[in-house]
Amino acid sequence: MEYGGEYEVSTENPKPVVAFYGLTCCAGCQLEILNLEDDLLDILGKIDLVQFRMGSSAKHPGPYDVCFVEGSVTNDTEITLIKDLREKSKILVALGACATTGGVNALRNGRNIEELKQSVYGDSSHINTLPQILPLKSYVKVDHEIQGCPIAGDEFVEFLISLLTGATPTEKNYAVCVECRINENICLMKEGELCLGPITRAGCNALCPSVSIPCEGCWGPCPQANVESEIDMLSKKGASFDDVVRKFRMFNASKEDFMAQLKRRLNIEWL
Amino acid sequence: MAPKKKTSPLILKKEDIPNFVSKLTQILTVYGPVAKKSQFIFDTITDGTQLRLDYDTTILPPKKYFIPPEEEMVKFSLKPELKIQNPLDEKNTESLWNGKRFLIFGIHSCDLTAIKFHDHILTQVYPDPYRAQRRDEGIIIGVNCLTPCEDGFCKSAGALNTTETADLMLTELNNSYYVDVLTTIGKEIVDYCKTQFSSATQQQVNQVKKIIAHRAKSFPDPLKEFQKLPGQLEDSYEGEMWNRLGRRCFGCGACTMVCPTCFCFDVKDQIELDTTKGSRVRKWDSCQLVDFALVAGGHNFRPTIPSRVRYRIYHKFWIEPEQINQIGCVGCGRCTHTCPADIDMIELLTEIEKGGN
Repeated sequence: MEYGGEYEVSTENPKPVVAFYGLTCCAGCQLEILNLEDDLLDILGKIDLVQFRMGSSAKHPGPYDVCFVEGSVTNDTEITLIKDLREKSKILVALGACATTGGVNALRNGRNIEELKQSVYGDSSHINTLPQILPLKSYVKVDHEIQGCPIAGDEFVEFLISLLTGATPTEKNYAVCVECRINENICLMKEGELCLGPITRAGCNALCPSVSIPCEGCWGPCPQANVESEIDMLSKKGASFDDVVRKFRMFNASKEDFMAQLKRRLNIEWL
Repeated sequence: MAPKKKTSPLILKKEDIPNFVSKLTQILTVYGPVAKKSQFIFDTITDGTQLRLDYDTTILPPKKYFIPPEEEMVKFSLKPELKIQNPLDEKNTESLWNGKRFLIFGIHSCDLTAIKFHDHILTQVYPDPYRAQRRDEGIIIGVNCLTPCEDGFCKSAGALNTTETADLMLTELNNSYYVDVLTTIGKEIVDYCKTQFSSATQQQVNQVKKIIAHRAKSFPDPLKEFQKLPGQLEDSYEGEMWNRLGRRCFGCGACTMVCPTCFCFDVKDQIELDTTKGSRVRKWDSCQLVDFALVAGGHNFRPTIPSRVRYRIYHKFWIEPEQINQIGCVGCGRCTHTCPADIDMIELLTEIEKGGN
């Protein structure tokens, strides 16, 4: 089975061997998969799920046809693990914000790691952790990314179907605003809220804005995100310098291009 | 569409509207404006009291009932023994009251103009059988808008007085609605609820004429040169204004999603999890999105936000008038109302009128 290979549909093929791994994270993305109750039996009919800690304590040494990895690389052990998984897997998929943008784990980036360790753990000599959180693709080749904190179950299923049919997975290369309009939400930007929807990749079906909660950007920036305009609009709504920085860093502190634009616009060096 | 039939105007008391609508819901699916927090949307009406004919504008136009945001075009099978099913093959030829018909209650003139625009462009230039079927199934009750909405410029866009495409047209008159019966289907609707209508008096006819004449004068007309825009655009193509605009625009496509005249869609094959069958669906697309003009081989004809913003304006105000002699904008103001970057259509078009540099 090859990623993006020839279009071939055959139910006679042996089922692909699929494993799930979790690095440092809350495991919420794997939980979203467990939550796909209506589809789970169909999914299990199509794949050979050899490792999935939400459903079974069974472990499998590999190799895998497809390996889904959630969470961030936060220490040396995880660097070794992700490199090993890459070698063992035909297709490696980063699952969720921690693996695709660094997620909330990346909030440490740009801060003094020793001070942070001290303030959280006191005596922290036994804590082995990396000073910077980077997306998985900074360490190994990643074949596909499924965004979100947590991921959306339907995007996972859609990706799985692409894999099973040999079709090229589609990406939603547009902002949350599209989904908000189709859901007929009242625009939170227009209501004076600090919403990252206009620069955030769609895929969540405007989950937060649909219940009047401004977007925090957990799907990561959309292509050609107009960061300058976003900062202008947030400022227009009364956002302070700190509000803007916090908002941008929440899920995307490890997105270098994105943060570089922020720094340039706000004329600051740190972050 | 059914031919027009001259029927004398009628009066429907406001207090009878809920009953009228409830009676319609017994034979038709009825959609109409309802409140959504501080704004309005078109939604299914199950009880006549939900209807808010005092609405200003809605988040999405009633276009969504003729061209849904997502629509199945064909079902297919990946196994040769199963057949392709085209929903259009099941085209319904039965009578009016078969339950598949729907009625949209309370469409304003701007949106009626947009429906007329689609009736032209989606039959003459890009024939769209899916929309055509829904259009045949839809019955329209228009309502004359008597208070200008915040961002609208329907008068400039020549959309203020449109009643065409409506089957019945309502005008608020004190405690009643004055009802113009415009089509045979409109007549059938009125006949179905006969007891609720009375004939309008000559005095009421005159009053409504006065109201409409007063409206024509009192509505704002911020763009006096609207019809000349196609010519003016010829000189603005290289203008710096598109770069200025592009720096503000998010390219988020919100303006096109809420636009009553936009009709672009993307086609996608969705295969089901069992990988034996699927359906080809079309979904609303937008010329503002980065993938819109991306073609095989990786070339993108409009790779930047400024190029896409400009395209949207040129399509509506130049290309479409060339195609069907009608500007692709009805002045509903939804794009201004929804733009997260606060881009104002009136300001933008005024800039073009002034030379667009």
